[in-house]
Amino acid sequence: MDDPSRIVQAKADPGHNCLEVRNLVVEFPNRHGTLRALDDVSLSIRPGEILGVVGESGAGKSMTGLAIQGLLERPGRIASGEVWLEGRRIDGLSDRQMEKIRGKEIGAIFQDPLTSLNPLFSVGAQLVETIRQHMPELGKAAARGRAIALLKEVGIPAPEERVDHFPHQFSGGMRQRVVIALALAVNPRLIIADEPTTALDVSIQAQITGLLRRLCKEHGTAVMLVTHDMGVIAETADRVAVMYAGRLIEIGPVETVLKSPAHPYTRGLMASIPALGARVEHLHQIDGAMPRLNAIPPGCAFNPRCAAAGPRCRRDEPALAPVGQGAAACWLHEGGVA
Amino acid sequence: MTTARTTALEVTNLDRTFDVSPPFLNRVLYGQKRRHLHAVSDVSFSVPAGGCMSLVGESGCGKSTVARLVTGIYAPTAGEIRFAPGKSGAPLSAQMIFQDPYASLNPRWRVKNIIAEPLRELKLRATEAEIQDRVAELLGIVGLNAADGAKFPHEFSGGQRQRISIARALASEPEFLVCDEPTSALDVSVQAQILNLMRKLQDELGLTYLFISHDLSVVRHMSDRIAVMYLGRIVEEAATETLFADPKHPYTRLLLQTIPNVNDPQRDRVAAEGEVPSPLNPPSGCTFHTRCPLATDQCKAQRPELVEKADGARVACHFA
Ligand SMILES: Nc1ncnc2c1ncn2[C@@H]1O[C@H](COP(=O)(O)OP(=O)(O)O)[C@@H](O)[C@H]1O
Ligand SMILES: Nc1ncnc2c1ncn2[C@@H]1O[C@H](COP(=O)(O)OP(=O)(O)O)[C@@H](O)[C@H]1O
Ligand SMILES: [Mg+2]
Ligand SMILES: [Mg+2]
Repeated sequence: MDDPSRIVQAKADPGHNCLEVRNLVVEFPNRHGTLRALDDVSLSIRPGEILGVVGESGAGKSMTGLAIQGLLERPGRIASGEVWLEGRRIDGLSDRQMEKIRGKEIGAIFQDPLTSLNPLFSVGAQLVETIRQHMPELGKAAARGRAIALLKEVGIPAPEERVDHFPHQFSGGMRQRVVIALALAVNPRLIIADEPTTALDVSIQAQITGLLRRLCKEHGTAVMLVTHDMGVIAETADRVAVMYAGRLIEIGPVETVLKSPAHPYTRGLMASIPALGARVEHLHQIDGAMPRLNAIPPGCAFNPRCAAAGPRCRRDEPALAPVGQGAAACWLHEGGVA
Repeated sequence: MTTARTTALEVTNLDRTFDVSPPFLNRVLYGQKRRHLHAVSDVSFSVPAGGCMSLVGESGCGKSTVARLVTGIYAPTAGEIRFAPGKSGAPLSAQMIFQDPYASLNPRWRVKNIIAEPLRELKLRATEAEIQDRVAELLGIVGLNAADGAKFPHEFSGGQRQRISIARALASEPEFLVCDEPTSALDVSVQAQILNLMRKLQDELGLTYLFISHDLSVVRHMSDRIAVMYLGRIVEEAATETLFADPKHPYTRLLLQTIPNVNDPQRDRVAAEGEVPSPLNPPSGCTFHTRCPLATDQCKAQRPELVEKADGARVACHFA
């Protein structure tokens, strides 16, 4: 097992991946040294597939999305590793080139729809501008027609009328639909949705995740769905990647990872969710907290909180290695001796 | 499931409106009208001593307003809030725990002073040494170290900050805690720690909870009874197991159907369309009729009363 990430990639058939992230390392140099925000993250997404990315806050979920889009805040930088989009390497491209890619090939959806919308312009004007930037051949009227069609596609009632409304005239759920329409406007190959439903009520949340799922399947778009909500993942994602302290610690098909997790952290996380079915007196809890980036322990980053940790876990960092249909970074699965 | 318990809190016909009128000048110059928002309408419930009553519903349905009314932060427009006498004979006092522990902790104060404030304010301890002992004890109760008292709130994680606000709430020795979305800002693993702590405190200190959350799985874990609110009103109220086994209001059923269930995900569901209408302009009759699959003309015209059923559940629906 020389390079475990390569093994995982090989199984995923790189020829058909829309997105491929290989051994990504993101660092933030500062006065005291260098913070490693992402450490050796590898993942891939196929066209028409939704990869859920979960983990507690600070785990590096958003950072992964930002690094892929070339949106790392300075002095943050990709220190090593590769990002491939549709067979083209995109890490290390210039800001201008990345801007083009973001507008055309990657659509972004954030938790707060207002970050993606300009309050001063009608949603129609914003859609038309985006559409014409990428399809300059389209006339004004045709672009407006496409804007209305997009609003209709994302489930906005009376789109012919709503196209002239301003963002503040929409409810939170409807605004998020508008943002999805904006993201779709250019037919991106990849959509990165960062906590797209976290600010919404459950009944609206189900509408938005249902919409994302439908659009992804219909358009064959690859979706990276970042969320801390396991329920959303369970109902929306095809595969799921679990992050902890800047590392990807488990990845695999959604049923396997949620129902029979291979990593002790994923197991603990799943067990700590209050069940809707049966009531228990005491919730399973993982004691302690995820370490800060400047205090990650040697060995496995999870070892101080892990009941199964042995001497090897405190000494050497486990790499992602195949387990069943997925992969996990845990010594328990590498020969079974921690 | 419970033996006859005394009632800790009785809320009857609680009403609260907010004046959300445009500024005076706009009203004069542009003829804009005064507007009132009915945040809480005719809400009645009781909380058994030592029990946990929960309010659930989507944002804007009036949960926090009820919490603020119960703790006296807001005055009711109409209705009554009656606390039973506590151990001392005086009416129970309620303390509140908020969703965002950071916003409710003074960032410039050391944690020990944050927790000591109610002790000093209410003169619950005579000497500084006694105050410091009690602070250390409270930190221990919520699972922090006495040494943590010397730190500032920003040095703690979200879960630890929520422990600090619980310690501060406990400082005044309340018998009743109003918890407004106490774990909504926390990760599930941290949420489990806080919910376990709250259950432990309930058992050990005999606390009564009014618990508020939009998360039905959390509410199910914590509560003896649950009230479901929609646009300022209780539409269904029942013992926890009754509500989950036999939800009677179509809105309760909608909520139960739409929460993603990790153990039994419905990947092919077609989500119910529609959104909560504006509370400034609520629908006529049963306010849920605009989203209700069962709605008839009667529902548009006439508001259903909250009626008690054979199993003790109260439901406001013409068809329940
Ligand atoms: N500009 C920055 N400089 C240094 N560290 C950062 C910066 N932005 C984020 N981080 C750190 O990177 C880690 C991952 O953050 P993030 O990806 O936002 O987590 P999440 O999983 O909650 O989305 C966190 O520990 C965060 O503190
Ligand atoms: N101080 C206030 N002034 C005006 N409107 C308010 C005020 N507080 C709450 N509201 C309104 O009352 C309704 C209920 O709010 P709230 O009790 O916060 O709901 P919840 O906690 O269930 O989300 C909402 O429409 C809200 O906008
Ligand atoms: Mg994030
Ligand atoms: Mg609230």
